[in-house]
Amino acid sequence: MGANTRTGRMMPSYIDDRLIATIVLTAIAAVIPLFVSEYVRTLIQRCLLWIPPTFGVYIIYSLLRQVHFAQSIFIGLGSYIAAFLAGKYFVTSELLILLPLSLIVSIGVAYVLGIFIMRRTGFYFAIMGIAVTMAFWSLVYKMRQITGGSDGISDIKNPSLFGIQLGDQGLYYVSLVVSLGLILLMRRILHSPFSLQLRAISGDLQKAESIGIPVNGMRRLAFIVAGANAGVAGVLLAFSYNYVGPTTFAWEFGAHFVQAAIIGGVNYFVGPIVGAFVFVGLEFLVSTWFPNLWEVVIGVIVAVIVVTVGEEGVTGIVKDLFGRTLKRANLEERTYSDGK
Amino acid sequence: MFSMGLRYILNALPVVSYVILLSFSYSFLLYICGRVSLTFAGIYLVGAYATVSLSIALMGNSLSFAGFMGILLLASLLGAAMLVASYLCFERFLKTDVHRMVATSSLLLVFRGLVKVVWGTTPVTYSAPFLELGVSEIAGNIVPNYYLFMLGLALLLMLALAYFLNRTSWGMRFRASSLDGDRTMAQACGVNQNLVTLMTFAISGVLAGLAGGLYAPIAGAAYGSEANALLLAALSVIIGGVGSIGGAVLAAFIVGIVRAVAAIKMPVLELAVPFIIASVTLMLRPFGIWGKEFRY
Amino acid sequence: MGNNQQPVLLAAEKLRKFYGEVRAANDISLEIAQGQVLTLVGANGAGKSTFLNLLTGLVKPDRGEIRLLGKRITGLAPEQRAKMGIVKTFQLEHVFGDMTVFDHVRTACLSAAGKHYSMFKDISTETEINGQTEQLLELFDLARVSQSLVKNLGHGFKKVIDIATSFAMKPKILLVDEPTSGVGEEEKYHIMELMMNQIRANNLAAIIVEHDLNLVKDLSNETIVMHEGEFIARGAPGDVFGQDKVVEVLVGRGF
Ligand SMILES: Nc1ncnc2c1ncn2[C@@H]1O[C@H](COP(=O)(O)OP(=O)(O)O)[C@@H](O)[C@H]1O
Ligand SMILES: [Mg+2]
Repeated sequence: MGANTRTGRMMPSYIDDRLIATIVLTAIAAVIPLFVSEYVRTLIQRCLLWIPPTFGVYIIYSLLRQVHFAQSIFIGLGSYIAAFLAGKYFVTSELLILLPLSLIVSIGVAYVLGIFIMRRTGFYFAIMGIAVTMAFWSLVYKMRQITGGSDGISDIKNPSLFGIQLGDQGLYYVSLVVSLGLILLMRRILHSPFSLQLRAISGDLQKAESIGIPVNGMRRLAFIVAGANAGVAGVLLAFSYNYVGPTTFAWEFGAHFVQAAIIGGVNYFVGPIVGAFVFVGLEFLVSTWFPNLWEVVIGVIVAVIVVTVGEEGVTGIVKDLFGRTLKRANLEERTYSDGK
Repeated sequence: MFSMGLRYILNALPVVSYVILLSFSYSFLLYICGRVSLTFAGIYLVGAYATVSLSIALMGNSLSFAGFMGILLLASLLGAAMLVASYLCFERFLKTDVHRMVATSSLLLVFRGLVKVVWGTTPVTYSAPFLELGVSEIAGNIVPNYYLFMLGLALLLMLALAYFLNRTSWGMRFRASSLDGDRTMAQACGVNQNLVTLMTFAISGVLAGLAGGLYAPIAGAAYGSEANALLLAALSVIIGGVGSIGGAVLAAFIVGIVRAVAAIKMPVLELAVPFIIASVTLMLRPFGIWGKEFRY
Repeated sequence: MGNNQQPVLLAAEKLRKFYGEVRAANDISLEIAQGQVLTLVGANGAGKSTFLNLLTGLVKPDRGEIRLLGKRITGLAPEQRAKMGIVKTFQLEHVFGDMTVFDHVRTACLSAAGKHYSMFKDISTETEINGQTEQLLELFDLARVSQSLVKNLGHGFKKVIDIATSFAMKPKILLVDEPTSGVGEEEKYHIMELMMNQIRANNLAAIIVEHDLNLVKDLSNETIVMHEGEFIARGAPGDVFGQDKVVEVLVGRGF
């Protein structure tokens, strides 16, 4: 947590640096579509949309020390909501309806699933997460009449906002705003009483119980927060890909968000952001030249990162290389330092 | 009614058999070394592809069952070699469970990706051993003998492992190092931990490779089948309990049969049903039907 | 016995917990009133920790009842009991190592205030909680290390942090499991003094497990000797420690 949250005193002075960095990066993201090709813009848009689900994994990892493989469920729910309502059974393409609807559905599903899969921790949680993604996958895969089975649903037209049909560029800006909004929200949540108590749960379960922390309820709420992020991003991802298929629910898709979070570095708040960009960028670059190898390359990178730097990720490596400059920008805003 | 039930059970035998082997591969590592590792599903996939490829390359159409057994043995040894290599080069550097889950799931994706590079994504099949063995009749139901062979082999291996663990002096060393025993105590008594860990990985690799090879003549070697294998095996461990051989067998039967019934009666819930069984188990018996309370 | 004029705060009735052959708690009954301080002594493995864990709910009894102010709480989870005022400190190190001392105590203050699910509020704006935390750190002489990570501090500090965190829960009864185990002689008295001052100042009930019999004599005028899951003697420390059977179980086992 930032130093300001520890003492309860006023914000320290370097907040300005951080604010400036945020504003500069946001400005770059805002003007970049004016200068790059449509293809690159779509790629950046995807990076932006990968951030919220990766944040979900990050919250579960950094606060609860658990591995969340089930983000694909909520991406899938959001995506299919968009595909059904704005594509297949054209009902509405209004984002002001689709996004809240997906949010509510994700929260509801996460609440119910949390009862089952947040019961136990460690490998139980991880495996149950994988299992439930596969259960959804087979459900969607086999309900051919409704979901289109393995063909999925394609040809999803761009959505509208306040009744105004969005162009591709409009969709980019909506993605930017939604992603940024969720990042800020996550920042607030990470500095909340809620997060501090989640860290107590992963710090020492018995002590947490003995000071009256409702362990199960809080774990479940963390799971809901993670899922809600993914659900919202899922809607926009469906529009971004113009296609939704059952592979959205595949377990490896959920594992990719874990990989993205690890690549970015779960010790840092900017980790998921870095991770989303690096992951999507790598996937693009490698698969341009070697279409079959990108999963292998990313898998090896993740494995090497875990063994060598653990939770530090790319952010930690970069910070080590350019330590001083980044220190001023206070990138090392730790949420959790691992005892090893 | 009864014969219908028997039909389901007989049809589920191949899945039951490979899940027995595969789930114990996973739970054995967890129990003896306290190590979570998802790599086994990758070994399973490689085992399946290796068996099919080797069979086609070495025997073509002139099958001899002895030859097939030889190839199964090769696939098992390949599995052992791969898992031991994975341990020596990589997994031994992983210090916490969270690291292990993240890193080995990535390793599984790497194996998957390599299989895709080598063999592509179209399934390859070699069903000659399956056809060769013919069929028998049990209470009016036709059963391929290969099903019975699979189950027999799986159960035999489990019995052999149970004997090894409980009756031999080496087995004692394994159990002394396990979650049940006391690692530091075992070390003090001169049990070579490194050797035990290596052998555990080797045995686990044999089981995973064999599971893939044994199931391949029925289902073929298919890119993507590792997900199913991972799911069924890992859920069986949750249901049966970590480190319990009886639990592995029982859970494999439950999962295999219920899944087979669901696949026919409610196909959309085919993979949801094992998850539901595992959820219910966790509520009633948090450490599995036959599991003991461990630190997990 | 004890303060009979006070109403019973916490009552245990025939609590039993067996671990296989081991009788960790064998039909133990006890009543304790507000402001009453008991000490619990016994050799290692006598069942002292188990008894305290039974009271907090960390261990489920095989049978028996626990009542708080006459209300049955046997089935309640530890976190619910903590909320109701039964709080325990740990014999072994149970701390949130990756937190600062300030955050460590603040966590319990937040929990006591019921602010578990407050997600959208910045923690630095919780002025009341932060004030309470600072006050507690002062009381327990922790203010000077308030920004250190708990895991970097010594064993004695961790014990005090554990105790301070428990006080943040505003307990009715404090269960203290060997607060000075593994702590040096001098620190030991300091920790005990800090703790006893607060217990007396708040008129709390307390059960304190302690190995140092000299300390036990200072802590309270009522002590209980435990052996193989049973209370074998009870009374003023001076009288109890003279009894043969007590000497046998305490000294005979290399106590
Ligand atoms: N979780 C457990 N499983 C098995 N035996 C236990 C467990 N906890 C405690 N015991 C046993 O119960 C007895 C009492 O333990 P404990 O309450 O820790 O004693 P004390 O605190 O007096 O040293 C010991 O013999 C101990 O081995
Ligand atoms: Mg004790």
